[in-house]
Amino acid sequence: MKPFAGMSVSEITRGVHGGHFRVTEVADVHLKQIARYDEALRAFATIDRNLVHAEAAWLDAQYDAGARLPLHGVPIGVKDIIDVAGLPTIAGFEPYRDKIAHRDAEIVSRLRSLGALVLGKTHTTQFAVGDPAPTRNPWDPQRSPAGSSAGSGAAVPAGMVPVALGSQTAGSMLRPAAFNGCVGFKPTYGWMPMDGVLPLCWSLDHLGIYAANVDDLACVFQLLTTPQPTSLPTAPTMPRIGLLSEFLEMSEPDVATHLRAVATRLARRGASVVQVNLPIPFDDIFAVHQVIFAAEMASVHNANLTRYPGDYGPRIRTGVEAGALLPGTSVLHAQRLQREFISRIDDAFASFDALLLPTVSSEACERSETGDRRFQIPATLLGLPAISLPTGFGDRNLPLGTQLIGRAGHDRELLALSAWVVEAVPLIDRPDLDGWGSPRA
Amino acid sequence: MKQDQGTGTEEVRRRLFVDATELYGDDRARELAEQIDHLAQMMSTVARQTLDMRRAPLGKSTRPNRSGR
Repeated sequence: MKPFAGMSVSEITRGVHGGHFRVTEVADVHLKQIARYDEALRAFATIDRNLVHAEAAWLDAQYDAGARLPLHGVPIGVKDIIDVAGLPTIAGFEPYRDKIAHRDAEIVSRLRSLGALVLGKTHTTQFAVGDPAPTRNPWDPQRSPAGSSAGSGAAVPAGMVPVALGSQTAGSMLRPAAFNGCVGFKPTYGWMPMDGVLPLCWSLDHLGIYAANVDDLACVFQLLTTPQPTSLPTAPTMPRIGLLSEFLEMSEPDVATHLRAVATRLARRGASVVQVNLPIPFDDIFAVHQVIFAAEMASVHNANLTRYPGDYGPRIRTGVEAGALLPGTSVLHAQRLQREFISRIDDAFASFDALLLPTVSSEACERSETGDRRFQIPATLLGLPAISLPTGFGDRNLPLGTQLIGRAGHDRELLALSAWVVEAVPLIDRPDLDGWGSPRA
Repeated sequence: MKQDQGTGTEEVRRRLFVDATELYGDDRARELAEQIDHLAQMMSTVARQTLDMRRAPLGKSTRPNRSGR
């Protein structure tokens, strides 16, 4: 048995634990995949092959000494706003090109202690805002991979890594998952440690996980967040799903048609699917998010912008400059409303196990943009766990994402429900990078 | 710019634009105008919601859902 690019987490750990192959072989296979495709895809910002080989050899030595780690030899990609010891945290910002991190971010440290192998840093939009990253969409090089976690979102469906880390402050986890065709999960606010991560907006920043399937994602999430991981809870036999119809009205026709088809299949499988609306008008959620986002981003970046005015991209620069002018009273009002909205949305989950909506209003947009962030913002502002599942294709034959939002703190239940959902609605296959742009039959 | 709805949006927008002009000069201020308009609209929505929240007990807004439900 030989390792191959595109292996799942369980296939890798079974192979390593069983002595069928070595971690160094796993590393080589994935580095070859990157060498073959990343000149065009540009998912990775930094890879130090010597560091990867040294780490892989150390993991093999651990195996030889009797260690069987839960993620033994599983390669991961790390968004380039998250510190990895020995590599620069560039964040798409040229003045930081030589800014080497001297210690791992807490999330990276936890993954390493579980046996994961850090393969490299993945491209992000500058400081995880809106100026596009150099990454291409693995389904069509002329379309956007979204942002901000563009590199991580593209590297997973391209088979370069089975798991990657991203972040979300508006829609930066879920939107790349939808545009690139992989599973993306943003846990409840505060469930993933932010130490060693460049902040953007401290009350909205979340870390998240990309994987090729729900099982891999659930495995990594549980290992990261549960002291003694057990299997996922059993999904309800008749899940109660609230279909957020107002988002269908805001979607492109192919997106709305696809989500209705998903809802029909879930109902046929036994779910109770009821059309509902958010208990808070979407316009209000969006406004509160935008005010907090602008103010906190300005607070984080204003001094640095003064120091490096020529190095900031036009979108983040304008956002910081405008955000710095916001009146304090408006920001305080927005913070108060955020707390009020969180209370109101929790009440809604008395009637539903999850809310269902498209991840994005359209297929992948043109490369000059990073896509429509509106549909991802409710889960971000309200700190709710949310997952994007690649369940189909739109009119341009590009992936579409189905989004499920769960109750705060019920992340494992949402993942269990997601596993139930993909039995009714299979996930799409990977893109064919040799015939770039054509989905497999 | 949407019509001001009694929450001072136009005044806020005017003040932001004056501040931006003083801070960044005319050219940059023009580049910022679109973003400032956007934020002013967002602030207007936040201000309206805050007024509604004062009128209603916490957790029970009397404001009708603008989506019509």
